[in-house]
Amino acid sequence: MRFVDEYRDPVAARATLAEIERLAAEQPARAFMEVCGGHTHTIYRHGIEHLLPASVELVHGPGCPVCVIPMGRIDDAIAVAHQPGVIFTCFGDMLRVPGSNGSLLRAKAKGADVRVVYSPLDALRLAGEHPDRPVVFFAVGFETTAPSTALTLRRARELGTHNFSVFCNHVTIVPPLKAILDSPDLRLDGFLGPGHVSTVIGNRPYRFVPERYGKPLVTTGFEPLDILQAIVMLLCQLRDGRCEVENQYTRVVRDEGNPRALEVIREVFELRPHFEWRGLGFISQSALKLRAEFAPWDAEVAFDVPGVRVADPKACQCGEVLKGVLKPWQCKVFGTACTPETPIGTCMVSSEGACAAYYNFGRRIPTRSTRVGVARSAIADR
Amino acid sequence: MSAAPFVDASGLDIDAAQGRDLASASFSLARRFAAGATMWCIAPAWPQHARHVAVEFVHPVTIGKRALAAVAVTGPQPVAELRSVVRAGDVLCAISTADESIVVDALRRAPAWGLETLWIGCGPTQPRAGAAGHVLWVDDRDGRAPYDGSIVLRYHVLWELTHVCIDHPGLMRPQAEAADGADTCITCSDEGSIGEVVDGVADGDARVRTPRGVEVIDVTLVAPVRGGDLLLLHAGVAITRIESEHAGG
Amino acid sequence: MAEGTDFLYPFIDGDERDAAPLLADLAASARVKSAESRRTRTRDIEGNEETLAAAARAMADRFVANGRLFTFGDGGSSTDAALLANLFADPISGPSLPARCLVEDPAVITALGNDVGFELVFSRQLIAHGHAGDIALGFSTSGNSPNLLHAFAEARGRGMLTIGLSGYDGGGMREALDHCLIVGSDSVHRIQETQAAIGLALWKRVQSLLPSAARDG
Repeated sequence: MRFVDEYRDPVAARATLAEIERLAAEQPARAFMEVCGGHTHTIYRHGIEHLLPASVELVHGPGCPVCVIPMGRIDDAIAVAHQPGVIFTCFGDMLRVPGSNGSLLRAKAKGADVRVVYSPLDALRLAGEHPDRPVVFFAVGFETTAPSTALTLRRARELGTHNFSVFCNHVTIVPPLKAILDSPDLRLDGFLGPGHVSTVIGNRPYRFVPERYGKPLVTTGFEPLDILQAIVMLLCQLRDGRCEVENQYTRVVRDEGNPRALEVIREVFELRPHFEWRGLGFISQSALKLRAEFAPWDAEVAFDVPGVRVADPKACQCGEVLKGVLKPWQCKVFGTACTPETPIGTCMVSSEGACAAYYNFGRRIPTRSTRVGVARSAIADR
Repeated sequence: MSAAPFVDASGLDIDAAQGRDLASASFSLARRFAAGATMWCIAPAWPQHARHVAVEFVHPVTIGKRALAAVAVTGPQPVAELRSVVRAGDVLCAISTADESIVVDALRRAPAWGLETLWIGCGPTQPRAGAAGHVLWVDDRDGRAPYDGSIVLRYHVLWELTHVCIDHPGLMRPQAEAADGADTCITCSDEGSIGEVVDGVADGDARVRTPRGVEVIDVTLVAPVRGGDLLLLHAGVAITRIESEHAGG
Repeated sequence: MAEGTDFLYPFIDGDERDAAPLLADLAASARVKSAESRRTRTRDIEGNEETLAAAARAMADRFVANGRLFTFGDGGSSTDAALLANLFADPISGPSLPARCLVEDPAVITALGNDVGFELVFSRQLIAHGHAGDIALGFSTSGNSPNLLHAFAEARGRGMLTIGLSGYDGGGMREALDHCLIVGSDSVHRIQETQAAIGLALWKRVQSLLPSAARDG
């Protein structure tokens, strides 16, 4: 119980854990997937797996939008960054994502003007400061981040800023959730639904999960206590024979989401017919592109994006990890060839990627698992 | 006439679980003090307790213990006063029952101000789980815990244990969390940080207070906003409001 | 630079990394202190039984005769004094009784402290406010604070009832008062915790001794 003392409100956390143990004791073993990378981060960082009873397993889902970007899109981004005069902007973690021939960080070292921004609005400001240079924003993220990009594009149009464009790689979380549910090699009893994505889309889009697939889903916040409470809610549903969408994160998530945010997404973006997710392959209608009205700000129109598709390296088993079939430490290259300093697969790149999160917090390895022996020697004590 | 009922008050004893909670609360508090924090104390119904906590830390009774910065905030507008004086990294210590609206309001704003929070309380009902970073509760059905020494015992022990922690400099150093926090990707972690509106500026923007300072944030999706509104921020945009009625949920 | 004695004095270079043993010690220590607080409280409320009964009876008589309560103390004890005045004036049950704490106004305290000396900050206020038939009640852990001893001397001279809550062996307050309730501990903290409990017991008894008309409020 040592980690619990480090949690916010450890009293409540201990009571919740005791509740989980009571509930787990009266039902068969359960496996729940946390869909969101933020949840994966919380779970690893706070050693939650270590505290759960052996019969409650957490499986890490595809919820890191950086991890799922395929190599080809990274190669495209690097090609744009190398165009003459371009200021290429992105969120911090995109820098180290490997393409087929290096990363944006490597491109920067070779002379490309690659800059990290906190918000797409910062990239637009940069365009205002450098009217003579094209500024491109590498847009990545789920429904949480899409409104930010959409508002930026709307503002660019209002301001008439024409040296600004967006290389759009926004993806949506619901299609891969469905892909996972359709996957034959998957055994899951329920889902921890994304927290901040749901502030935008609300809880209604998840209703197909219980209704069509018979799995409960609980929208969850990011504190360790939130995750523990959501596990209690899932176990209670299973015990009571209920199967529904519930909201643990009521302090910020409304059932209807944020209608204005959805409206601005609709105004600026439309669905792509399909998009490739690293490890999951092509998923229909799972990503966003700019509408024709925003073509002047679309980097895919403004630049000659090669669009070459490159297969991910064979050794990397990101796909299996993302689907929850393998645990990070079961991947052939985890911790040896693939580390946060020299990532092969994207799961090792972002600190929310399942592998990097596991690597960084791996000292809290779940000792009850027999599979751990494989990885223990590979985890350097940093 | 027997004195026994006043001796046997159930809230007097610290059980094993609360002993651990006091230890972890003291440890967090000591780390904050070691990093230069001030602890701000509010106790709207019993300002004397806020003052007692402050005097305990500022003027230690024991030789060799250092003076730690603690302040009782007992004016008529504690939330406004806190807003103006606290700095990110400080600590808010509240002493009250679970339904004290001033404390509930201050605690929900604390993340926007970058504060660690500690709630020493009493009463028949407990706050919602996670209402503060550390919750030290005294079960009290007839309102005497503020007067019978139960609350005093908690902050006395907190003070003593905090000083023990501070004498372990190796454990007081800033640890890896700060470093890996800086490395967190806002997109992938699906970050949502809490901010408090300072005031609106033109074109759908507002100045919003966060632990990092005052930032200009696009509030188009949650407009109109007023000073004091709490917002959830992601990538420079407010994506939803945090309504007060949801704070209790 | 590693030294052979590092294991003995880890606090010098701050090499300690694992907080778990410390936290376990602290948790155990919290319980020991709680148990000690309970032991002190039980022993000293029982040990003061006669004084408690007599003090409560005398206070109730004064209240019935329209007397008022003035409380005082220094530092943490000032907050105990203020809480007790608050409990009498704005009680958790029963009738409100006239009570006020003499430490609540920093203008008065600093004016007196600066102009006439800190040992007179309470006695000068009693000269202004106290009358025969009123009650002076002071909290001290040592029983020797000069400003309390001055205040009690002034109170007696004015015909006020004098009640003290003291610690250790009672100090100077032991002999100088009508009623002195002593907490026989040498820990300032444990003394204050038990003094709070004694204050509550005193209030409860005074309430029970009031004529029923007053109790009905």
